[in-house]
Amino acid sequence: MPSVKIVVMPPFDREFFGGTDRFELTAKTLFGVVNQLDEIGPGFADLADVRAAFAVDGEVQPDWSVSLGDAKEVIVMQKVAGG
Amino acid sequence: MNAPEAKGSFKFVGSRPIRPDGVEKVTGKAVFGTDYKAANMLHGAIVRSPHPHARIKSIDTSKAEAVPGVKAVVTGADFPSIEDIIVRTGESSGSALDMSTNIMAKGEALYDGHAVAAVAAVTKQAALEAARLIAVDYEVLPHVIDINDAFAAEAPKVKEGIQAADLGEGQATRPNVTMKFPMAKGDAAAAMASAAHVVSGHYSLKPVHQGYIEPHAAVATWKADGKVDVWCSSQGQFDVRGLTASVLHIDVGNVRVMPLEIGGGFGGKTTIYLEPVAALLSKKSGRPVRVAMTREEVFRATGPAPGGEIDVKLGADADGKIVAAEIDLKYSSGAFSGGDVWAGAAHSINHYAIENYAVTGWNVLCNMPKHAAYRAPGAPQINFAVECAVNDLAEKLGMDPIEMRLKNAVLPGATGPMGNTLGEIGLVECLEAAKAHPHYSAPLGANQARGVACGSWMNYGGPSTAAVALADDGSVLVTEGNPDIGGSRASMALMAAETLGVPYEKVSVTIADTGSIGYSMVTGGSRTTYATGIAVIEAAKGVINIMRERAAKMWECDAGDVEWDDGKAVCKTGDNAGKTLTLAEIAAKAGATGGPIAFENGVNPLQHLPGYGAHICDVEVDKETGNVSVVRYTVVQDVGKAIHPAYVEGQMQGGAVQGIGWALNEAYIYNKDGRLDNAGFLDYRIPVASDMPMIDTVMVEKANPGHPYGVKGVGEVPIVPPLAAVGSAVSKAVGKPMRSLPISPDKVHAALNGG
Repeated sequence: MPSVKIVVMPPFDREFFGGTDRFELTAKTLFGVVNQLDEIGPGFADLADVRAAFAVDGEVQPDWSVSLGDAKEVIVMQKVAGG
Repeated sequence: MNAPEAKGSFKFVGSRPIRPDGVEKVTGKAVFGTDYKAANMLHGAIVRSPHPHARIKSIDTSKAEAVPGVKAVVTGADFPSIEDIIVRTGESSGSALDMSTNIMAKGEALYDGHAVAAVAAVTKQAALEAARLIAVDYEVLPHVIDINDAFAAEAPKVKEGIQAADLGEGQATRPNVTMKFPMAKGDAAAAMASAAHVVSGHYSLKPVHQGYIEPHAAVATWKADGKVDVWCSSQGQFDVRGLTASVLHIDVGNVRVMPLEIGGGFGGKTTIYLEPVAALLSKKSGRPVRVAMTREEVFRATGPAPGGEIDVKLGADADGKIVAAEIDLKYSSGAFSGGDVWAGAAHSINHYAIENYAVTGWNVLCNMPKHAAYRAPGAPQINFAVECAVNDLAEKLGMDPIEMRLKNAVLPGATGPMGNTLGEIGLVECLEAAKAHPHYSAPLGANQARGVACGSWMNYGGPSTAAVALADDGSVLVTEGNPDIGGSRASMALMAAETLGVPYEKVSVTIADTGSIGYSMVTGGSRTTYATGIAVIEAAKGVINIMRERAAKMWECDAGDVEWDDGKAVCKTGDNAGKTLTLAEIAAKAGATGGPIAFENGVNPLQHLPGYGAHICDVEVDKETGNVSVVRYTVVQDVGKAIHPAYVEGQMQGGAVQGIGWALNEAYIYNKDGRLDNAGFLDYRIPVASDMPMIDTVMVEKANPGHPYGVKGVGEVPIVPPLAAVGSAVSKAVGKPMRSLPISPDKVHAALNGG
């Protein structure tokens, strides 16, 4: 299974990962990414569903069960709020 | 460009039928939040803090409870103690504890207008009299309203127990700063140092209200079985359900929310203020309770959009290519954390391709109501600063401002500052259309000037559920879970009609309560026509599949031999080849072919695309009084495929007018004691029809490949560029940069007279 680069955008980098915003993980799906990030930054998984969005190689992926396949990069960003 | 399923043209999509709810609304029969009455209902009233910051030492309710007709009184002590859990609020999230504390103060009043107690009585008069008799003993504490004051290291704390942000090593502690949001690419400092042209400026904006006409109101009944029913207008009954359950600390399944018609929300009705109060008063009294805000309460206690203090520095090469941006923005979220600053940072430059930038956002608390979403939350403020600076840069280079934007515009397929791919966006097309519009080259009159600006909003999709069912006479019944704010019943009916191939008039749309259909996120964030539209289309496709199966039964063939074409099933093989059955004919035989025909579908699409717009504004300045009139205004916007063009144009016009109000008139004005001085539409002046010229609209229809009919969100974008378009026009007319909003007559007069 190839590794995937994880880019954590603010405010999650400071809030959960002590300011670190780059990780290299090996995961089959976004569920795996979230679980591994939770091990690094405890509490992240509890909040990820309501606060975070995930872009896999630039495309926002709502389904965490979709295979990451050969994805190169996952960006963790805050969900947008609208009016 | 056609949408994926577009056949080059549509039969119903893109037409302009009368909206289904229109007659009820224009004849005054539609039931809005304040109209709803429950049998045996009590009337509520809320006691609010007159202080911007005070410790609540005690609350004596005895005199109030003695008023004849009073049935219940609640204070913060009646609210369940809840953990600080994060819950969904609209499209993002927030603290349940903050929400509960904002709804009813617990030990500390945090702004002028903060609710401290509530009463329910048999008449409104008795409730108001009782509220007046509730004695609250306050210890007044230091307060802070202004962002700059609140940002200071020595500022008084907005409240006890603030979790100040980790600002990084070596940064001074700032008690009211709850978020620092840095965003950077390349080397902004080096690129700025080598830029041929540099402009910079400081920009200020006051908080503004969404200005919806309908005040907040809710009726709740706490039933004998422990379940709570709520009737209210909101932007999303499902989120009202979830938030109310969180604050009351009961299961979501024990709360049922019935949506009423909504008289405007613009983001401000994606949260709750009254529902738990009415529910607790009902629990105590045993009767349904209605609580409704006055206009003054709406201003004093519901969320404004943040004000901002923004520094912008842009550098360009000799050809006008922007090579560096340095931006620092401070927004206030009121007395509670959260806020729009990250969205402001993310939208600061996402309409331009800039290789080197350093953007830092700060969220600052102050003793004001908890901020709430307002149309493209966080984007108009930063866009005002950045777009005014771009106009300054164009002037410095002697470039046409639209040419300058074309030179720097972000292109399809580019990567946005948040790292996501922007896809089939249409900023360049908007700028070209604006440049070609007769408005842009029209001569100006005396004391007139022209401003331009462009901007964007990233839009959203998210979860939606819809159901399509057939009646036995062939009527099509669409059920959705999103309140209709901007004509979505008509849009859903058009998409269902297009998919099924039946006339628009055969489709009826119902907005269901939370017990009657699956979850849908709020109507907001420009998501409903896109996401709920997909849910409707997919549900209609589910019905088509069922109808093909039923037709096959009637023809005694396989469903695979039946195609759906233009509202009819067509048999492709066998003895019945070439025969057709209409939707009505199949529906009439539903009982004999397997029962009712219906399909419910839940989706979570995120292939939405950002929206972009370009605005042109002409103003005329009265040099004697300083009054500014907008004399001509044009909105150009990439709208994807307009399902109902009239309502898309309405969104474009409405957003522009709200932005113009923000630029020229609107602001929260607090006095030295921290009390709001203009809590009403006489003193807080939103634009009215007689203030405005007819807003011209140009829809650039560049379809979204991520929607079957090409939809992009349209509601947020049009409020983004007006602040800078107006501000730049006035600056030109006055001959001085006008960088503090609102650009009220006194400021213009002072600028014209050497101030």
